[in-house]
Amino acid sequence: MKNKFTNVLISALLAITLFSGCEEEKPITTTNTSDITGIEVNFSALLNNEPLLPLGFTDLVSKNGGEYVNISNWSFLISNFSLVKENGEEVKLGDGYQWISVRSNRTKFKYTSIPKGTYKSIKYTIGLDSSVNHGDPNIWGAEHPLNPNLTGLHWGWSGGYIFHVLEGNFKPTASSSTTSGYSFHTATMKFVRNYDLKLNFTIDEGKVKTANISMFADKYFDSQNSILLSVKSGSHSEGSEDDILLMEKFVENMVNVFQLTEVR
Amino acid sequence: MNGLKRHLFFWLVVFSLGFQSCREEDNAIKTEGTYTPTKIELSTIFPKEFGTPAMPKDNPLTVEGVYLGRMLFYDPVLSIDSSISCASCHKQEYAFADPVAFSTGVFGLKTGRNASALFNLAYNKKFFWDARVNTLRDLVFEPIQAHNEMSMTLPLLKDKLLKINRYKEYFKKAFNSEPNVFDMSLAMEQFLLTIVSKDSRFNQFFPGDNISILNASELRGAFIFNGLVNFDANGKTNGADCFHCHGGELAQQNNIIMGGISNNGLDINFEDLGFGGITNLSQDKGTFKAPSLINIALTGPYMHDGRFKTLEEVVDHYSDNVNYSSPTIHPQMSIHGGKQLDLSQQQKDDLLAYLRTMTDNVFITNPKYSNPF
Repeated sequence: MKNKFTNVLISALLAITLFSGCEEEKPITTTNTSDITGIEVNFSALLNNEPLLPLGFTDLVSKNGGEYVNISNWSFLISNFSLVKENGEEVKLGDGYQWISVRSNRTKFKYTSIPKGTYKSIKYTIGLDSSVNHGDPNIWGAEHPLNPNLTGLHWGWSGGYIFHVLEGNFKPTASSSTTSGYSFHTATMKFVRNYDLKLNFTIDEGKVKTANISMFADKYFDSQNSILLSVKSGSHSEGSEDDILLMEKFVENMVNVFQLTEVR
Repeated sequence: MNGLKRHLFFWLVVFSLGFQSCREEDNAIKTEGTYTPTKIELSTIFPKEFGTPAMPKDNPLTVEGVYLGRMLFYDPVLSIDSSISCASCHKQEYAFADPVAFSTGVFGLKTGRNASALFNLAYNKKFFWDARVNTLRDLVFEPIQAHNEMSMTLPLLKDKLLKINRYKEYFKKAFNSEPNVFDMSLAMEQFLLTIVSKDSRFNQFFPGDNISILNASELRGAFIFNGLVNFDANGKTNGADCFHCHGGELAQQNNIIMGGISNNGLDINFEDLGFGGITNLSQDKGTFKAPSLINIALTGPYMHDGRFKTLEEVVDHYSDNVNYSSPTIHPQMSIHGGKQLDLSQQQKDDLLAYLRTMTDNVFITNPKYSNPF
């Protein structure tokens, strides 16, 4: 009787072991811990103070210096995205990385679970720190802003990332019969820049605020420096002295492109 | 005690049968019960150097699904008269391209564009020359239903598949279903995702720290390929800027705006609108998907219409014959004011030598992708 019981018990245990061995993995369930205290950040692209819609990239618009331009690609990588408290403490949001692409209509992102309080600015870097820029680009997940297959913003080889791209076509005057391309690819550590967009705002418990950052495309060409595309139609941040000089002017102008216009 | 031994022996046999059923291949034909397909670890398919592909979350790769997809890819039953399979126009020895400008479909009809090579598709987000579909599962329905390719209707295809025992077996094993066209598309998506070309000399060299792999001409070609166009006082350039649209380990720009879909100056007037025919946007007219250059020496004739028979003709186009007044030409190409690159014969030869390092001979004979019948 005892043997019979032992046999049955062994059989049952073996059966359980056998069938559980072929069982599919059960999905892991997680508890939703996010709350709704947060901020949505929206980058609004403007050209001559008019919204630059993803479908309106063909028209050439006049700019200072008499040239006419359009924009076919406007894309950049953000790191260290942070909110700055009144006392200067910086609250980094997520891992701080974002990819903005105007043409792809990828111009907004949202963070939740932000400490409530009063803030005085939004800070970010266009560009990456050296270890990330020259690190292995293949470590990033398929949807991460630093995945080159997603953004196309990596030079391969040993060149690191392209931090910022502005491309399009131009013609020197309204009466010019043909257009030419222009292309500014901002890269290399020399051209990493930090931005601190000042505006007092609050993050309130149980609310998602919307921050609007206006991007004035005209300022790339005409602000601290005047850039005439008919003189030189772009720079890739390296090469000749002229290329480097032009990119220096371009990134100096970039400071004036971004403006935090409201948080509501 | 003997009873216990008998029991242990019995369960030892059952155990081994149980593990047998967990193995990749199960030889017994069963259409009853429920199968658990064997998942494939992505790291066994995709090289780390290529980055993380965006895999479809609702169609995990399984041994059974991939094998079913491979059978379907090679099976002419997918065409109306059972004469044409996918492999008829996508031949492994040509990196799954076709060595003619326009392929021949059922009843001798010709296709409208050159058959694209098929590899490293897991890293792509748009498919076909005009980038008209976004997923591989949608892609497979296009040639199957096109009147000049397989000319099949989906109800008829389902009926045909239902009559074939091996499909009854493998749809069950892969999806726990009887043959149907939706699961067919998922299986073919799985197979296509697993087609990876990674063993060319280019891919051994690419990160740039293994220069000894290339000979002197190939290395010079690498610098021409990856160099920016910069004319000197004599109007000569050391770089041809190929990398903006064909860069990285995949020799392809997968972001459509960064050059992944572009007009490379073939025509001023567009007989074929390409991507513009899909979006109806003027800026997209005459733009086409830029292919990967891996295996490029195998995939001629070249361009969407197969107009260039040889790789030499392709290099001549980019050096000497670009139509810079083409209305939608990519800005990156016309940045230098519409001046032809005018590469020397030596530069062209070096560039061609570099392009030929991208041929992956392991890939074109890899039995994992070959005809299973």
